[in-house]
Amino acid sequence: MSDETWIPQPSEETQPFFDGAKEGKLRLQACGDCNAWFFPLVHICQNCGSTNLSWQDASGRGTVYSWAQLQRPYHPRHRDRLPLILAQIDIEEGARLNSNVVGVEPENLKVGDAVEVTFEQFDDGGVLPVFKPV
Amino acid sequence: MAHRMSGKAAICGLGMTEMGRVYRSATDLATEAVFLALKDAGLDKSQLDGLLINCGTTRNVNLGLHRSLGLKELNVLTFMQGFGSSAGQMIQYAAMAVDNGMADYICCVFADDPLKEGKRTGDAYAGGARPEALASLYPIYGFAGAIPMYAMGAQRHMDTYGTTQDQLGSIAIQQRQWAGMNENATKREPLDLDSYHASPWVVEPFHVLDCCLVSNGGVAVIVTSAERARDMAQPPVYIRGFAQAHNHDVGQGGHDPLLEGPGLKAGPRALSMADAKLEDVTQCQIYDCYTYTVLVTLEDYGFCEKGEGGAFVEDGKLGPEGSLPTNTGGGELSSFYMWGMTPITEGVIQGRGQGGERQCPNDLILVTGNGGVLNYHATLLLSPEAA
Ligand SMILES: [Zn+2]
Repeated sequence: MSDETWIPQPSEETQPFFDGAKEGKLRLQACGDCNAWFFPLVHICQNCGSTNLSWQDASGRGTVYSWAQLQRPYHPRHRDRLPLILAQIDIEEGARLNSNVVGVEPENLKVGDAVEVTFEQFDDGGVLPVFKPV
Repeated sequence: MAHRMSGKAAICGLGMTEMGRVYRSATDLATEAVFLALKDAGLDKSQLDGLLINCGTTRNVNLGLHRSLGLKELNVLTFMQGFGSSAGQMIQYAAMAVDNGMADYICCVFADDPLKEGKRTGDAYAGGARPEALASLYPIYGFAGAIPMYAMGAQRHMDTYGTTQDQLGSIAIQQRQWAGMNENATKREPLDLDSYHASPWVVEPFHVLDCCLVSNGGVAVIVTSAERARDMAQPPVYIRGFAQAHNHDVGQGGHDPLLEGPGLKAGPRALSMADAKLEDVTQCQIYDCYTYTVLVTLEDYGFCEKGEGGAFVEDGKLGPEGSLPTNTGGGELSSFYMWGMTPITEGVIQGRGQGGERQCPNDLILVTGNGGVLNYHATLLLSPEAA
């Protein structure tokens, strides 16, 4: 595993996402008026225009909307782990997240598979939410 | 009955610079393309009274292009951006403007210069870090540019409908057959399934040969009224129908943007304007940033049922011996990549009957533009006949 610093510096606004990851939670913004969930950051609810947004812990469960295999590295994290499975995950709360699926061989993964969040720990203290098959 | 706009405007001029590793600025390429289009149309620069400008990935063309062209007076001028749908959109707005008498001759121009001397093609679109902290996780996950998203579209199609790698490959192979008949195409050497499979993976299921070329170049297209176009230097190519549709992936589930593109909505509207049926289309010039884009767009327009695109393309019907000639200049995969201008240039060449050995029946030519990840879409129906 690479020990190069990879994680973006959390800002005041995004600190809850990274704090959540360290606690093993998929912490995302949710709208207090219409219950839409978001990733990445929003300041106004895309669904209803409300600014009544707060950080909430998602269930961490979802399904694979689609996936593909990264075969060329362009970030230190990608080295020695190709093919890296890229995926869009439909989480139970409704948002569609760009992430990775880990712990599965590509020939055993299919659109629609159930997945749950898991967390990848890095030497520099960074934690990245990814998904694994249930 | 056709819509009143059908056949009211026509393309009367086409200018194309050299394409590929042409190490000139996009502004210079755009400027040259406009002068080439004026010459092609037999127009004096003083007759040009409208200019619509679109730049590509490097954003090196801007509103100041009118200065590079020495255009002191214009009646219509703006800069537009709809990514791969921009070129089709510009022609649509130009058609409406000439029909309304806002201008007589409007030039729509695009240029891009991603290739730099001494740099590899793969580096052309590198860089451009996302500034926002959470979105900056995307490259760490492995999402950068459009390739991962389109590759996921293809994978979703494969998982859902059983589409095969050979079927994607057949699109690349058929377009290469066309490119062999186009002396301006960048890649002309014949391609077979073995060499397709041997092509390196980028984001599986995409090989390098599933992805469009990277090109420097410029294209300009002049639009005028049908009446004016009738007595000009080139055979007129009439704009019989047009439409747009835009689907936005807003980061929420509950819709299927990778399997259902905006062509689903734009196609019937454009056909309705032309009072035509899909069966009237004699050839297609489909935006082909990836092989999968061609497959899903043909489905969206209804040439086959949703999910049957793989079997539909596999029998060779898009190629030189096929019943639905498609991307007859080689397309973005084999000819050159000028965003939405690539399919338009070939649509104009075919509409004029100037395709030489690759000329196909041109009664009704479907031209599509696509931007984002199947997000932004423009349709044109072109014909040598006004009605
Ligand atoms: Zn809301």
